[in-house]
Amino acid sequence: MNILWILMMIVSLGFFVFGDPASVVEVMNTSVSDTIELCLTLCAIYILWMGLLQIVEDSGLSNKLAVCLAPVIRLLFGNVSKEASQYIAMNLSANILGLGNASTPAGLRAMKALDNGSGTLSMPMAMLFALNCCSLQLLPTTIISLRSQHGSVNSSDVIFPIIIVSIICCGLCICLVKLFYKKAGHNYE
Amino acid sequence: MSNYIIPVLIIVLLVYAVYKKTNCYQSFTKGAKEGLKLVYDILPYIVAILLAVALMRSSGLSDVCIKAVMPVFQFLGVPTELCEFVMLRPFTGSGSLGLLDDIINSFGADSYISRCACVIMGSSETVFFVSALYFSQTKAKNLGKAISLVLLVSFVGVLLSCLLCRFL
Repeated sequence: MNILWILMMIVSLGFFVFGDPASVVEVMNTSVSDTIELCLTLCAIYILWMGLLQIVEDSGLSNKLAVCLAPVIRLLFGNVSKEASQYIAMNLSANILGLGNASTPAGLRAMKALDNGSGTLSMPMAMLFALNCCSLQLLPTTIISLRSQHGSVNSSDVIFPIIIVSIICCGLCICLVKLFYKKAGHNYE
Repeated sequence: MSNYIIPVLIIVLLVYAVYKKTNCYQSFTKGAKEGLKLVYDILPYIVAILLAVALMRSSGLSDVCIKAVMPVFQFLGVPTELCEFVMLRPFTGSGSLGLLDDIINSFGADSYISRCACVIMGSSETVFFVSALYFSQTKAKNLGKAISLVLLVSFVGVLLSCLLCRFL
């Protein structure tokens, strides 16, 4: 990440030096203030959903969910702590339901719970990240509404290919993570 | 349908919580506080990644990259019109959604190009954004392998999308 970031920054700034050096500061300022605006939106979303997730957790519902999904989690993530498996269960189910706003905070907490502080990326962490990178959504609502807005005859005919591609990608992700992060070797219990 | 999911879920949750004698109000505020902290934690990471993306786009570097990979895309069966979209997808969600809108506008909602773009959009994620978010929560250093792995899978997804849209 570090190398990539430095590369992106230096090469882009180099382009600016030879192209239009006057606009650099403006571009950077707009970008950062746009990001802060985005963060305000995120802030609202996270406060709302983290609040609701806390109720899920305190009412014991997340525990139930984790128990239901235990075989799946065990298969994908191996042996993870009880806390982490609860967050993973919430993250995965929110993803599938298309509640992207709810899945991210749960996923972030799962990531934190999975981190053992050793400074290396373990298999469960890589798995969590990979699964969240191939959108598992059942109904891609944004895309369908965008299509019907533009007068598509059959705006939902993309659902089928989207689901096929998502499932194949997920399968591929799972296989590759399993392959490249062979034995996690961590026992969190 | 999706309009009903969220309110119904929340109602079910609250009823269940009351049944389990949870102090909902206290739980909600406790979680909300955590949410505030979470944003505080991830803000610097998002600023860093989006700053780099903004610089790349406005400096013209991304155009150069797109031109460079165009022949490869063509060879693999990805329409050239989608190059920019495919390249931007891993970096910015709102940016690629805007591009998708442009594509649908200029090619028509039911054209092959638009359908392809929609499938790519629906089956992929903003990998760099997600990685900045998720890895802000860990101290892990060796992230290259995971990120490149996911990018590879996303690219396979793009190829698959273009292939599937030809037949379906």
